Amino acid sequence: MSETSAMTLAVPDWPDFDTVARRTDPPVLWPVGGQPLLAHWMDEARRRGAARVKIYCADRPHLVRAWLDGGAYWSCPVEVVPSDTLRYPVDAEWVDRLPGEDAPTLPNDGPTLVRWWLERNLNWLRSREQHARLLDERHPDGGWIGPRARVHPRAQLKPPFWIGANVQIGAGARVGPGAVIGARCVVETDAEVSEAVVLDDSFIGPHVSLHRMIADGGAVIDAKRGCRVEIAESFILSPTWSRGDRVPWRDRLLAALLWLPAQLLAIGRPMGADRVASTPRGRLVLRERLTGPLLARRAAWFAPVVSGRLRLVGPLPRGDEACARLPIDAANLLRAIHPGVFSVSDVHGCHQAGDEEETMHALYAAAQPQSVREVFRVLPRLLFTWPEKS
Amino acid sequence: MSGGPNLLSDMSDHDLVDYWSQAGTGLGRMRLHVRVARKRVFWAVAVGGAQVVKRGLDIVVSATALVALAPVFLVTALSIKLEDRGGIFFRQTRVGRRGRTFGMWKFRSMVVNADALKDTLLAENEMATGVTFKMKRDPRITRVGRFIRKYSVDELPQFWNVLVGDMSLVGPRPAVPREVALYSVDDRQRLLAKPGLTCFWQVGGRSSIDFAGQVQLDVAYIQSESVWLDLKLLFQTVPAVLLGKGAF
Repeated sequence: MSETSAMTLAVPDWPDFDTVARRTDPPVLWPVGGQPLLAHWMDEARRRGAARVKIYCADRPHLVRAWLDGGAYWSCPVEVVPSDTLRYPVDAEWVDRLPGEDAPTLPNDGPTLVRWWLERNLNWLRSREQHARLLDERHPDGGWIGPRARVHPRAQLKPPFWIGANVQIGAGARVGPGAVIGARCVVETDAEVSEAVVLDDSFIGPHVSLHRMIADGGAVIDAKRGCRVEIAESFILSPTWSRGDRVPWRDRLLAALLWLPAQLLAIGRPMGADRVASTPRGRLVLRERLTGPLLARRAAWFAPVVSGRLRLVGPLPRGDEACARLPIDAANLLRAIHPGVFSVSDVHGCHQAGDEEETMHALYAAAQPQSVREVFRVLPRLLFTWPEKS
Repeated sequence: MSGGPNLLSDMSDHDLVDYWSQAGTGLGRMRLHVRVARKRVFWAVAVGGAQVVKRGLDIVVSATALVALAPVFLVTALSIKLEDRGGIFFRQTRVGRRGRTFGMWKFRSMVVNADALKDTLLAENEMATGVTFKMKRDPRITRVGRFIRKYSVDELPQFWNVLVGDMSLVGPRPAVPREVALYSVDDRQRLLAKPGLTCFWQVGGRSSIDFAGQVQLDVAYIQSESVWLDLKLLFQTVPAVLLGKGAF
């Protein structure tokens, strides 16, 4: 290609397939070898000397645009064009594979999408020789180790493998063949990772074996069986402390203070039926009282906030059946954040999860980081709210 | 989650059974959870602590430097103003972490329309590879400018950039966008670290190292980054600056 040429990329439109991995971003932003698939294509554009890059994107273009940041890292102007796949130009290159890779088996449902993702990672490892990164060091056993990673001398490494920055590999751990371990992970004593991907900031417990799986913080995405399992036991799999998706200490402390008044107000009020809510750390059974002010009705919800499973203010907790009525990408967005004891929709008199108005508020809240102001604006108004008798 | 095809452990089956049977009792599970929590705290301190200490060091040292060097700032500002009545500071666009640009502050050491003159001078670029622009006898430098550049006084306002978080004390020098546009994919990895006031090549030979050497030294820094190394580099920078090595 000439110096002034433009590169045109086409992003596949697969939001409906993401029923297993349940991520909040489009598949082109899923990590392949420590960086999103799209980053490999931007590197490629740079290698070919493309002066600008045009990306046709049907699937969540705002996220793609935000991640690219105008192509600042590559000093290459990037234009993200929101478009229907039918209107993609015919000469565009599809970002459904790594640059230079043969046409892959394309996914058509959740399990195949996970397999597609795992295969891209393993193929990246196999063709690692072509695009070695300066920062990674070659290990004597034949594999790559990122900066400041610590590998115990008794760990067994079998190539091909790639270990990211600041990773700790424990004694007797068996890494590889085919292991992609993201930044800041911990692989504990005697754990085994083969043909598997460990995403950034994950903790793999002792004696745990991952084969053809993707570990994502406290969840495992199984490519063999095509399912996602949230692991409740932290000694098997958990996110490390550097991961951001935790309930803030502010909420936990406030909930501890509110617990006693709520319990006192709730005495003698009839209890409603069990409701199962899905949270980022697995399912949670919540019961609501049928009468009294909101504080008394949700008295039982404060303990999970203290233990870090609910926030104080956020979308109301909802079960899988309420999520199933939403588009898949919206449901994934809601599942990825901690539900709240109180929500903005409560201020508007809508106290039922899954209602149209509540869903609107919930999606709006899930799409952006929570501000401290919101918590302190909503809380005082809701502590004394008395819902109408239903 | 076991069940992989190559589960050849060093441990005997009995040891494995003993380990997992701990999870069967409440006390055993609590013990396992506590062990993980302890490990996570240690790791958070090791990984996150280094970042916190680095940022803390940036804030303390740069704030102290800004206060302590106030007389130097005053004298320099006065002499720049007296020489040609132009602006005292010069805000240059530099490329920071992950390619984001920020305004880097310097004392003005060149004539007021220096950037316009640069294009005419580009042809006389003395650096071998052509990515970095620096020349030994630049006609645009003022008399005060030559002095403050020799002793790196012109760089001192960058302590402000360090204080607000655009830069760090130690890290690869931020390049100008014109240079970054010429970087290859590999060279770009130096953009993964926060830029800094000083790094290996400022201590080593300053501008007398060629571009490939600079990238290599920056990468070596990112690979071995630690608080201890930062402190060592900071102390080595002081004599390098005072002797005016390689600055022009």
